[in-house]
Amino acid sequence: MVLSVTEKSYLHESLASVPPARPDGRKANQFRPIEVFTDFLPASNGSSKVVASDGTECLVSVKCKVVDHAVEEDLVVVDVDIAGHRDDSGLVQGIASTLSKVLSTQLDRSCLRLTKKYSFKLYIDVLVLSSFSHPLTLISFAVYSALNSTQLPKLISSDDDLEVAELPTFHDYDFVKLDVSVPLLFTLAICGKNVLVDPASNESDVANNGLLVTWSNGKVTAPIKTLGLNEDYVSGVSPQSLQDSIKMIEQVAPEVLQALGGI
Amino acid sequence: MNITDRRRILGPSNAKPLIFEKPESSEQEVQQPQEKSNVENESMYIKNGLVSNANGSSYLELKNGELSEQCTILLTSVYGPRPSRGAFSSKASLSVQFKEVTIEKIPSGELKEICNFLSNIFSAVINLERYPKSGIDIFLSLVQNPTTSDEGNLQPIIAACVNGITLALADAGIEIFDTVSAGTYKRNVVAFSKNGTEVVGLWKDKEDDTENNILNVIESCKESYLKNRKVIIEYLIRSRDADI
Repeated sequence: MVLSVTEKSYLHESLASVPPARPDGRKANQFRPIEVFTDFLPASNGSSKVVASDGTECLVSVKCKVVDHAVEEDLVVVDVDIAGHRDDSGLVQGIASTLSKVLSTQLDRSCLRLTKKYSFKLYIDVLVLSSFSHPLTLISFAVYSALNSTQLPKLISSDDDLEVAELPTFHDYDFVKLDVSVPLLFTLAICGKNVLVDPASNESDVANNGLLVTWSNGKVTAPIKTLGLNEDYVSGVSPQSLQDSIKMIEQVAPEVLQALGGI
Repeated sequence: MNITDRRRILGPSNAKPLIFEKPESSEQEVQQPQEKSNVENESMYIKNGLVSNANGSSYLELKNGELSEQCTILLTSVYGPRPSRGAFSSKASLSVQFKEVTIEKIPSGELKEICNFLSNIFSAVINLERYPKSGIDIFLSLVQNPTTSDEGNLQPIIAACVNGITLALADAGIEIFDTVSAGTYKRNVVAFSKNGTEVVGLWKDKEDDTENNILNVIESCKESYLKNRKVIIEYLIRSRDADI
């Protein structure tokens, strides 16, 4: 929904007041309720669907392929498609580039190791069916739950195949669960001196700046970047707000992981 | 025929530009190797207005070592404010395009990320309300990139882009709220405004274990920001004095 100048100014004032008054009544560190469905696509190794309360919907499918890891450097390929945005738009390419960089550098390659010669290569396809706010947090939750529900074929041949010219053979129907720790990406909006987690679309429209923070292996890691959430209200923020944002993620990320892990 | 410009508020017809007294140490020399030679053997060469058909442009050479091959060369041109067709907009729209002119080492997704990052910074910095119904286009051409692709070390390039755009905007005479500049520290780039009290852009794409507190990182970047800003402002003052 497009807000008028007056509405935006009112909303900005209420978000910048202490404590922030968010239009949906959330606390500064509260996420929107989400629904998560996993493992429903029969043709992929892992899948998930995340639906946010504002109707934003994100589907992720994980497929695997056996590759010779001496030949193929990248073991994770991410493809992002957002309905209503062109494939070459800044938003889509920026999200795809951030995600593939985070996943390919921070996923443990040894988890994908099959034999001494071969590894699984993961193809992660992200489809955002409808998006109203910056979809990165939601995509990240969907990728997390998809990778944690991924079942890979069970190897029955020997895993030492350096000397023998043998292709790996798999069990007819048994699968092994992929055990990997997946980084989470959070978006925050900074309004005045307040830091708001998981901004909704109207909150993004009046935020002074956005911040992307990554959580991996129990701590905040790179990439940490400022994100453009709008063009009207964007301005500089104090260094203290950046530190507050990181502190807030340190506080909420374990709870988010616990909630996502219960699925 | 009346040819007065009715779109702009002009001063009275007998107005004269302010002329300040020239400082004592005014030189035509623009290269400032002494300015930054004590920090990491870095020096900056600046030349504005090389692209004649652009409204403003800047040419930056950043020397990171002794050899000329280790130079980062960046050419920035600003076109605009030029009228945009179509729907009415109360403020100017900003676009940033980044291109590697010679060897393409940076993946295209990352180029897009850099463009998003830079346009976010300069949306906060350019007085866009001043230019309704218009568009400002910024084109960055990376002429020489000394880093190899596998390092993926974009920090000096991003910082050069921020400095280059600020210089080109100043050359184009586009209103900016402050001389924004960026400072780097290890794998972090921070763009500051308002004398380092406000952060307009933060880019950290690789973790280093030595520095965990973001405030310390920002403080270290601020030192390099203040140096860069000083060089930019000194250059702008000198080139203005040379014009008078």
